Amino acid sequence: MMRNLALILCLIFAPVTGAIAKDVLVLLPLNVDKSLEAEAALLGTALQQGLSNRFDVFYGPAVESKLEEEYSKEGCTAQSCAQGLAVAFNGELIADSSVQKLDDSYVVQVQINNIISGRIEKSLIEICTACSKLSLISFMKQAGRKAAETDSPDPTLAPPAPSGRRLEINTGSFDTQVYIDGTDIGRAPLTTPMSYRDGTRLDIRLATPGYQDLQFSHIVGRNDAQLKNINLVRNLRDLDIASKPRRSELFVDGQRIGTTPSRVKGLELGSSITLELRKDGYETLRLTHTVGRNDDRLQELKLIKQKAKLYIDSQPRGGKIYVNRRFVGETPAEIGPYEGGKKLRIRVTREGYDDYESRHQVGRRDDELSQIRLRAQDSQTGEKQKIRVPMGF
Amino acid sequence: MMKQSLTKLSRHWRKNFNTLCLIFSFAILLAGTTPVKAQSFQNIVGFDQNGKITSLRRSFKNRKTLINFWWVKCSPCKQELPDLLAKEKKYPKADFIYVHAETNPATKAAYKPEVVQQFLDQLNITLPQMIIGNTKARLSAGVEALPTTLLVSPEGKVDQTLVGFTPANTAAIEQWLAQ
Repeated sequence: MMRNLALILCLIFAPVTGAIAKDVLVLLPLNVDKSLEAEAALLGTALQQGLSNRFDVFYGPAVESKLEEEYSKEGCTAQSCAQGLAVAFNGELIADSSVQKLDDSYVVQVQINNIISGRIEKSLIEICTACSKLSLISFMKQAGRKAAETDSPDPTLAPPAPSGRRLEINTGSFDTQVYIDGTDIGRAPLTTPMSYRDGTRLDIRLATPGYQDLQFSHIVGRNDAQLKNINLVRNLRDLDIASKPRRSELFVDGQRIGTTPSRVKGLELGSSITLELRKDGYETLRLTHTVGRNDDRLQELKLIKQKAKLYIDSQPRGGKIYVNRRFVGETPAEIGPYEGGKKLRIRVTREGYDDYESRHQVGRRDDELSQIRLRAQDSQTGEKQKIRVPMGF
Repeated sequence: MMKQSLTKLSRHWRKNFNTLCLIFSFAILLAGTTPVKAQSFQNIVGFDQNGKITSLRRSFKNRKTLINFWWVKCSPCKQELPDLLAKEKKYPKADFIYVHAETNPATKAAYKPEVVQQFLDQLNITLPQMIIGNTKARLSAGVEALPTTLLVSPEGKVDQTLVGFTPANTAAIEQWLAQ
């Protein structure tokens, strides 16, 4: 009984479905990187299945052998080869596709070209994030389906209908330059000088100084009213600023923002700002930054410790000064500069006097070095004694 | 016993018959309500006489169009061509597209435009609009015999499919063009 039912239904539907002819599409061998070479045929077949939703797809050995045949012809160019392929399979459309692995994702590219009009019928890039090879197969099928989705009809196929639509475009700014399919058509607010057929896909780009460029596809006849009220997004960016050490005072263009780490909001992309970081004991850091260029560098600004000179004097004067065993002068003398916090071994020697030796941390009780008292040697023993000063830290 | 099994069999057939009736009713209803899409001509991709790639769909300009499938080695086709050219002159508002969709057995590919042109030169014929494809293209268009002429309305609907060069077909073409 079921067999009969199927037969009858087939008889009924056969003439109806037979009348609906799909466009022929030739799917060229899938380009894959080395990691996917083993799965290339499988992925290609999945893509073919997806594309079959709308097209009669030719793919596989038949296409490969024809391609080889075309390329072996003398004087064959990419264009003549593609044309030969199109005629051989009786299809205007040729699809080129690739899968590449980038980090942990796969990037799937599909481009359908019309060999006769030279028009790119569809171009899509789909990213399969954190995909396994297995899930990539079904993703390819989906990508194929997406590529097969009906798009704008080929404008080269038929002359434009006289009753097309003119589109009104308004962004609220008088500085917006409007580009349709790459052609500059003037400044918004405007009504397009040309009429477009319903269903035509237009690539619209809006460029407004101080605002982000807006680029989108619009299908004529679908929500055309939206074009009258386009919201532009200001070209603003937030900057995260951090310093080492933390808690430095942050000034942007002379205005105190807070202490680091800090976020400065709403800066215009491409504008130049002056940053200043201040912290006690450290050199003030000033820098000019262009917003949007190498913003990452602001996330670890290093402050350099303040440098100081040391004044060394002794009683009596004329003592030889050694810093880290290196002779630097005789008292009184100003030495350095040395970075704040740096630890120095300071020795002052003079004939007939005991050596003065100290471990000194720059920035701590520096004054003590200006009043070193050298002790006369013991006349009975004639031996030098070192004056050991407890470390200043 | 025999009577019982006959009754059982008869009941079984009656049940099947009822189901079949139901299916047929459903089928008739469906056939009546499903709009049958107007049959449009199948696209043919090929080269024109200058060797430039083109297609039947692109050559169709939403005008009354006669599409003639022919082949250099088909005798009735050769006889029909002068007749069609005369009609083309007579009815300038209609488009005539001559499709040479046949694979060259020597090259196993579509004939080269220059080869087709040489043949036409021998016949002293010039075809204004020609598409040269392969057999696959012809078969996909549902054309299995040559010559075949499709009479296509400006909407792209195939009004008539005429197979062969016969007086009846010639008259039908004339009548269709005159409409």
